[in-house]
Amino acid sequence: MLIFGAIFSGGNVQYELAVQNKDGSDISFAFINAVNSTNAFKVHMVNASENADAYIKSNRISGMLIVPQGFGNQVQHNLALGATRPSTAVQMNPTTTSATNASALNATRVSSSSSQAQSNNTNATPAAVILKVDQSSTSAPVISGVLSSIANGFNSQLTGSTQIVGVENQQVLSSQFKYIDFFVPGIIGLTVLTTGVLGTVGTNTQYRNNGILRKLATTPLGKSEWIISKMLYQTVVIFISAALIIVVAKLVYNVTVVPNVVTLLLLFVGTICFTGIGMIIARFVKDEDAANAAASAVTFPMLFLAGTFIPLETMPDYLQTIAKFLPLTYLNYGLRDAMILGDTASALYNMAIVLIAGAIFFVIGSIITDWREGG
Amino acid sequence: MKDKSAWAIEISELVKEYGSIRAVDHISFKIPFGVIFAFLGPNGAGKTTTVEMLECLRTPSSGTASVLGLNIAKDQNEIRKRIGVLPQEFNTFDRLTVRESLKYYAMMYEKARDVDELISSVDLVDKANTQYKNLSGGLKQRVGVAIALVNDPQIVFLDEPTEGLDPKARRGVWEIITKLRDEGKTVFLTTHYMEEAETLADIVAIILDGKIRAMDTTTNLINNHGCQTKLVVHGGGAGAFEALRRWRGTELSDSDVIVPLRDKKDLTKIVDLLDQRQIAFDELEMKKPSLEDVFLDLTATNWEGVS
Repeated sequence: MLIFGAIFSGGNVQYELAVQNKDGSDISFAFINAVNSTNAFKVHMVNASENADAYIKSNRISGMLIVPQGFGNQVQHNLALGATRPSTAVQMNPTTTSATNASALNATRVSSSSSQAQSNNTNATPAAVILKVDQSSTSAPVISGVLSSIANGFNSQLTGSTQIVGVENQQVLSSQFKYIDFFVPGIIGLTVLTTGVLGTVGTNTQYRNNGILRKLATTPLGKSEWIISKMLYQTVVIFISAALIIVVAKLVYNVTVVPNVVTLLLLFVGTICFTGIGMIIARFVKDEDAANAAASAVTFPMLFLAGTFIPLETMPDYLQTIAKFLPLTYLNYGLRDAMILGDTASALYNMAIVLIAGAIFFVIGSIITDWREGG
Repeated sequence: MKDKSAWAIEISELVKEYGSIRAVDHISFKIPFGVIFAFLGPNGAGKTTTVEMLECLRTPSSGTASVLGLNIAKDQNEIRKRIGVLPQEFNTFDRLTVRESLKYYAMMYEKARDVDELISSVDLVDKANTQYKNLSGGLKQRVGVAIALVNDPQIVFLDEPTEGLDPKARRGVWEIITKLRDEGKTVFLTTHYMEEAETLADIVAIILDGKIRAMDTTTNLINNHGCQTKLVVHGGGAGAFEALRRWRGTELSDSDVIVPLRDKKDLTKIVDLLDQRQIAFDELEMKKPSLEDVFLDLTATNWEGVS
């Protein structure tokens, strides 16, 4: 309850919004100031020379507002012409984890109904700011709606009632992805987490309590061989589970996820990480039931705080900060990069983070697992 | 090679401490090859701790020990290759069959016995394809013994091998243990069943509070610890007890009267006395001293209080 309460009652949520001003006119700055003054957004200014799509992709932001070159002149022109209804455009980023609006994702270019170019004056060209957001994200309609309201307010200030400025919605990339495509990697991440932690904790405590570890310890089998064999076993289980999830998702939901070598590596690295965490828990909690409870206490919050099901940007800042310290966050990112976006570089980056965390947990787990004297 | 040692096991001043508790307290003894050695003692006496040090599962606090001439502190890997162990409360993987379990453990050794031959030797041929979880307690212990023998070890450690088994299953395990000795193996048997030790063991050591209280052959232990033959007057009741209490050590146990016999003439005297006083009883039984008597004498502990 505390977890869900923290996630869903986080108070005033500020959405991350990158802003790129390619115009540089006074009117463009006035519009950006209007955006900034609402406190709805945490605005990050982006250099005008940056490639918007690449920036969104590499920085994992939900939305980016672009004030195009000539915006100021167009507003001045429209003001001179009189009544004009300019369009607004929004671009969406399908790389973010906040994928919930499946139907919106299917569109490659979405026009805001509230701000669609509906010029009554055929001589006027709409002065449009462009909003690139992830249409799959739950935050997309909110960001789009707030910006439309700001544009309307801006129009009211300039002309009283006539719409001079609008927002054009755009997706970052042409995409055929649905929400389920984003959901599947999260489910696979969940499988890695639960199989790794709960599987290891369950096996280690059960085998220790019923004497199997003690018997194994009297054979030439070494501790390192035992740990590695268990980890490889967990990996095989996870590979099979992931394959089944993908097959079912393809057959039932026609998902477009594409597993590859990087995906397999991510699963392997994730297994190392969560097996290590499982070994640490199993070492300190001897009772089987208590160990499973302890494992659940670790996995359950991580499941929800790592953006597996719930978009990170809808959570309060402090929970987003916590998420940055959870290996599952990076496993989820990496799996989505590898399976959906085909962004190998980003997937490898996330894999490196999981690997570092995994190496730490696995080494600690291996050292403190004592199946002879302590077992 | 080190296994040319004259002794299967040599222990010298071995100590194991857990914090302030000394579980094993400067014990020393030697066990020759090819015998069944029974290590007796109540729970908590230090039996399992001693065995686990010899099995390289625990590190001694001080002292030395060797198994097959190999130092338990330095040659652990070699020792593990050459010993067989049936741990206390043995268990293995529930869903593996008997044959699969044996194959699993056989893979851990460079040299292993033929699995089917092993299954036959512990009389589990009919259960070879039965999952471990579906076996009775006695059959599970047989699987444990078979696993302990999978590497054809020179020494077999059996820790409470008949614990919790019914009499028939217990006898079955005893037969296997006897056969091991016949094959020339050294058996280190840890038990708190006196009858088991008396039936199987060539040499018995009794440990209490971490110290060895006695060690010898079974016969010598009984003879040397002054245990006497006893006459049991079944159904004699209080009347017989009153008549016979002048024999030192006479006890009344329920309606039975137990009289220690220090002299061969005592038996005649007792029968005459009972006849003279016309004391009724059901029957007379001569009870020879047993290892249990030795144990009780040494430990001065009521055996009923020892689990």
